[in-house]
Amino acid sequence: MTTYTCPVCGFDQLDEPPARFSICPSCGTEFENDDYDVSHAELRRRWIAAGARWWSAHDPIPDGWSPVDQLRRSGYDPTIAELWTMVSSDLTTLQNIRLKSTSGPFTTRITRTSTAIRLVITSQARTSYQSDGAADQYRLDPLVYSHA
Amino acid sequence: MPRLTRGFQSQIKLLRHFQDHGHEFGAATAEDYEAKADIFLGSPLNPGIQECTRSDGDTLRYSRTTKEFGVLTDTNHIRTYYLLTKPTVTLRDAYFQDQCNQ
Repeated sequence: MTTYTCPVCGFDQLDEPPARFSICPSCGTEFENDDYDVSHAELRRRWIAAGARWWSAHDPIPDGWSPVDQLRRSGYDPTIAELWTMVSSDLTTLQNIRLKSTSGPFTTRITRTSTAIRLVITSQARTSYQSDGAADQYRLDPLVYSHA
Repeated sequence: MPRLTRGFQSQIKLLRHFQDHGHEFGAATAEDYEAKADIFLGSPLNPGIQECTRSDGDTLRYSRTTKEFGVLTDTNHIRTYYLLTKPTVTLRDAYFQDQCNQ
């Protein structure tokens, strides 16, 4: 079966071309509607800023689905700030994260407790995102935690 | 009540469009949403609704008063149905014209 790639989120299993009012189950973009006067880059930015969550309530989430990997496969390399947004909102991403960037290597340190995950992403350029304070600490409910 | 169109091409397409737009019409179920789309796109054209057929064979309808917009394929399937959210009549009219010219 021929499949197509979403120009917004990089989902590569679309069952029809991204046009003529089809909807991407991954990011929810309706082509020729949502992208009529908003660029794909801007739609991507908004999807990531909202947590890069799987959109469709009716299409099953593919096994091992990772928005970070999906974006990278499509040729889009998320910024460190975008990675932070995505991993903060989706625990499955934490397991799949493989940090690579043209702007320099990153290191990650993940600490789990029974109620929280602490993630520190640090780049050589000393741009770092640390969950040092309570406000930045990502807290998990038990259900989500067990899913991770 | 008999259908005027053949509905959405598949259940999953209906469900995706219902998730995206059902709330715009206060539709409680996907079937309710599809029924409203069916009436808008399948009823005889009334003076308040504009219609065009574009080069790919799709037929588009737009109501300036209710802001409804819908697309029917050349096989009589519903492709989409939603409310235009653009803030002015001019922008909504322009969107419809642009879509007609695709």
